[in-house]
Amino acid sequence: MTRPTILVVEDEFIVAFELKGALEGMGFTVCGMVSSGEDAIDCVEREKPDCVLMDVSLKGEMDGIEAARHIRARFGTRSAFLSGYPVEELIRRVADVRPIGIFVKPLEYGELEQTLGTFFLSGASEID
Amino acid sequence: MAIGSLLVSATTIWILYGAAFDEERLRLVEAAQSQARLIEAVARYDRFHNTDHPGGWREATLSQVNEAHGEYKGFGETGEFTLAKLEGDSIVFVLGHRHQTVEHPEPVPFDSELAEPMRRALRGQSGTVVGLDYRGERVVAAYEPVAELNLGIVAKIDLAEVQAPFKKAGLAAAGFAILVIVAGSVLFVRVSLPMVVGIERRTRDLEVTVNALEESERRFRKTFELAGAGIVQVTLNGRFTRVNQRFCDIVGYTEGEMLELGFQDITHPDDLEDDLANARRVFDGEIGIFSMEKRYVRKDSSLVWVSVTVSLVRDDSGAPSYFIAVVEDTTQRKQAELAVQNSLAEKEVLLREIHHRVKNNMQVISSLLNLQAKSIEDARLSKVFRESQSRVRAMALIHEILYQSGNLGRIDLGEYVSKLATSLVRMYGTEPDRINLNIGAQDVTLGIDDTVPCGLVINELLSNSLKYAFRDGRTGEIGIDAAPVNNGEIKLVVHDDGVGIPAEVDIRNTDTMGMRLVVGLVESQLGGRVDLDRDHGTRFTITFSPTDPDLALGG
Repeated sequence: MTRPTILVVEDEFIVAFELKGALEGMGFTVCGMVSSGEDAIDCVEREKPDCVLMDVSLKGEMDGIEAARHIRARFGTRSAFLSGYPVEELIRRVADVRPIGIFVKPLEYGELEQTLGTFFLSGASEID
Repeated sequence: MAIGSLLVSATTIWILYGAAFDEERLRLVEAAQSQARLIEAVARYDRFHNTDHPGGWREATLSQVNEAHGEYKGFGETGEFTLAKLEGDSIVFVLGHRHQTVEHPEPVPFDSELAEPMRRALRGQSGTVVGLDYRGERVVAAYEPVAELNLGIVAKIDLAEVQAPFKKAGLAAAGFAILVIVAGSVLFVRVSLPMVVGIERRTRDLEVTVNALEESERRFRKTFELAGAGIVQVTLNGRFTRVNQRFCDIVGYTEGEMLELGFQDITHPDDLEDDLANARRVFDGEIGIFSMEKRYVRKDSSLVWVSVTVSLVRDDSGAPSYFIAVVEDTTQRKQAELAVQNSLAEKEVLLREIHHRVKNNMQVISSLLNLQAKSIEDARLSKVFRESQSRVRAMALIHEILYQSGNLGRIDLGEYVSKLATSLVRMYGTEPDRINLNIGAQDVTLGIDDTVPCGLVINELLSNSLKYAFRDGRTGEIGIDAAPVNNGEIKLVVHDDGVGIPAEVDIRNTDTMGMRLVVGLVESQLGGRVDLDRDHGTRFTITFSPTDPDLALGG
């Protein structure tokens, strides 16, 4: 089994960089790190990752939820969201995109690893 | 009264006169008729029995009548009989007249105005009349034709004589009435003069009072008209009955237009319900007066903010009569208030944004430390980085809570401790079922100046417990309690029932960075005390006075 590939969408480079290290430590391949929704769509089209780790607030016109909606509609790829804001409001806003998970920053890597592991093991990434 | 009595007596006299006049007339008729029949009887006798008289039987009769007439002057002062015949165009009297001492009175032309009664008798008529006699005197007369001799007989009396007693009575009555009037007037003046004087004095007093009242009324009206605030009188069902100029200026209607309207017509629909509810409460006597901020819709449809103070005027029996409202234009104040509110809201947004950014920056610092820690082989050095990372996170959490909460100035210590503990438990990878975490810090809030050192202290103590107290896989409990104590201080207790700190470790004299931070932050920055109890596990008790103690309770 090849290592699952993940696209990281985060406009704070250092946070993204740390996240990349953590994800690689968990045994995943980070196929790209972008900071805007537009770049994320391009990157998904090009790299066909197994899932996207998407920050809600991004550079550019498009926010993370909108980008995730596009990506899922065009490529069927699902996203997990990262947010600095309260999760309750976010759950309501992203319900239609069927998120893999919602993680509040600062991230707890144990939780992230567990959720992503379950997602890939269940084969849910293949369904959409 | 005098005129009344005069009228009554005049009427009485008039009625009496009427009755007397009628009686006189009947008497005259009776006299004239009886005389006529008598003369006719004499004439008939003479026609048959006295045929040898020199002048004929007619002369015989006339001379007898004349003789009898000579014996009888008449009745009353002026009453008399006259007897006449028609000769050509003249009335020729055949008897001597009482009023003309001649044997043969002057004839009167038949077509003149004189001797009216006789003219009628000679026409063969019978009756009574008021008219002129042969003298041209006004008389009451009865006339009767004398059939046998083709004569007319008249019994008459001067109207003046008939009227005389009544004129006298009338004069007497009038005189008496005048006397009564004069006496009455004198009496009236005597009686009423003091009253008149009194009334005059009272009238003058009244004038003074009325003038004072008018002056007072004028002042009040001026106060009403020229007041800097709008003043209105409103009926119980809301119609304006009086409005002053200022009010008209505020709402942009003329006084005349206002009096056609009710306050419901110009109150903004969103404010009407409150307004009516307040008016109801005043009406019910629940409150005496109410003030509210509301909006009027001006005539030009623009809105004006006003402060309205309404009171109810009651009548003497206490029943509601009408409302008085004092209205101030508060648009400028309201606009300033809204501007301040907007500005405040903007600043709050800005402050939230800043807290968010501070938190993000701290997150970046935390990430950098984490990245750095990974690249370090030395486990001890790596641990130092992770501890630093944890301290940055403890601070970042404060900003996170601040920008997410409704109150930008205060932090709920319970919420903060709970999030911090959850984060630390994860960070140290502690199995959740091995250590029981008890947090009791309800109703304690702190300002940001106290929360940062307080948070760092809790971070150190909690980290210590997680790292060392249950190292050998043992289970146990960590408790964090914060509560205000009676002198306004806050007591914070962090304890665990783990292995405990070795007795030889002096927390005030140790190389451990964590302990030095705890003691330094509490004693220097918070100005509080740290006590360590090592009897059952570890119990740190920290007491300090919050910077803003008034707000320490309840948030």
